[in-house]
Amino acid sequence: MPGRILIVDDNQVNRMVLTRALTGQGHTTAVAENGRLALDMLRHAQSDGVVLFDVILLDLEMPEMDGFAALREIKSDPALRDLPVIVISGLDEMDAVVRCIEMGAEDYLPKPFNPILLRARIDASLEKKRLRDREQVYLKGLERELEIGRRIQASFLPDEIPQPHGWDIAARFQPAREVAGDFYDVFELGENKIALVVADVCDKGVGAALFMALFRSLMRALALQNFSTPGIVSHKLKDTLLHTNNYIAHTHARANMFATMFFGVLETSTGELTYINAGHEPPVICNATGVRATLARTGMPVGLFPDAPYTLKQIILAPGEMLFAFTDGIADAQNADGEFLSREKLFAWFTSPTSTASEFLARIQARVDAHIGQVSQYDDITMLALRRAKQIQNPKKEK
Amino acid sequence: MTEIIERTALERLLQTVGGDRVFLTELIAAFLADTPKQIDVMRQAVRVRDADAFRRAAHTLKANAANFGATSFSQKSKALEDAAKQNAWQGVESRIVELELVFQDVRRALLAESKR
Repeated sequence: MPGRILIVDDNQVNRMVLTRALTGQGHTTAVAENGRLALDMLRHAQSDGVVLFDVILLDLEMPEMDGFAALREIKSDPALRDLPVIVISGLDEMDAVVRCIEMGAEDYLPKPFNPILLRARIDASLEKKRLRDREQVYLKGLERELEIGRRIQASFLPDEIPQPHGWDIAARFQPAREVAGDFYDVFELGENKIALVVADVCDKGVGAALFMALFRSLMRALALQNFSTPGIVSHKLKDTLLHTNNYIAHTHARANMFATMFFGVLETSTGELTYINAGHEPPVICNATGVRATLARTGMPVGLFPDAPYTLKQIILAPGEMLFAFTDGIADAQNADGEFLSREKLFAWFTSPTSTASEFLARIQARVDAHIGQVSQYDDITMLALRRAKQIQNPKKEK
Repeated sequence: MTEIIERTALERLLQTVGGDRVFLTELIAAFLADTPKQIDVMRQAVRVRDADAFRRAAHTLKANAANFGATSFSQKSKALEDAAKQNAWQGVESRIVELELVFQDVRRALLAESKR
């Protein structure tokens, strides 16, 4: 398998022998008389954006810039450091060879040249380089796939969050590096009602992102359809969730996909929140003194079993109170020592007042980031905050 | 009389360049042309006590000679290289003369090889 080899040796006979030997084996060669000229060649090619060589044969004893100096420069240049270097040495120079290998040389070739060894060393080096190049291509491919997953995920989050009169709603979404399946949704249902969804699709990767799109679309479509006709909120809410659950459980039974989900409908004129918590991290309602209610689980995650039982609950948000819903990426966030953030610590941050829901979330985010520190974020972090204005506003009569 | 040129080494060199006898002749010519130059460098270096230049020239001679199987020549060159490393200049001039004499034999033997 042919390669491009740079021969660096001040000895003309050596240059001739190696050039002849290597071209005879099917490779392409170039020569440089010393380290300085070799580096000029390499840098010149690099500035043209071309990688000229697959391997460098480097003699150690040279004037102008000897092998060590050349090797050191090659290995300290990020553009050149991945080029394999085989040092050429006499058998009485083993100490020097060892030092070179410690400096990053890949292998050595003894003088006088042995044709079998020459072929073996060059071929081994070229093969290794080929494998490394292939690995790079593969990794880039994976990165592209992740990018697609992230874009799918981003496209299924709301562009704008409705701001009903007397309410301040904000959301924050920080995806982990590996595409995960968090999502949230806020949309109007008409008649002073808005729907809220915070969910976490199991697993990671592009598959989870696709299912997230499915869950989100089903919930939206079914909710909008159900609420377009008159009827009782709790029936319509439960129906929406149940149909979504059954669809996924039946149609995608083999995929074993499910999502934990908090689904609520808020009556904006009264502050009444009707909800189902399908196996999701319990949201909380807080006021100036901190957490005053926890919205515990009322059923199992969505998409597991057809006709799974779900219980409805209701609670009223008083003026000045805030609903805070989130995914387990927050409480489970670990720092460098492996300590979890925990719900307790999270809620302890709730007592200092902020002027807007958006500011509140920004502050929480900053604290979570401080906790995680340098460690890379493992899971998506999703937060939704709904704050009811302090003064009681006269609700505008909507048709 | 010990062999001036080790046959096996020369054969190996021939193998390395793919059995190309014509090319081997070119290599021999290059070596024979270069060696007197290196010896001159060494002489100059002794005069001004430049250990580095001396050492490099001796090293080159040692390596090249070994390629062609000129073992005795190579060993003598190595001895000079080592002397330079230790800055031992005593008697170096006469050892260079000795080296030149051996080179004459090497030259004769390699020229004979070229004609094969």
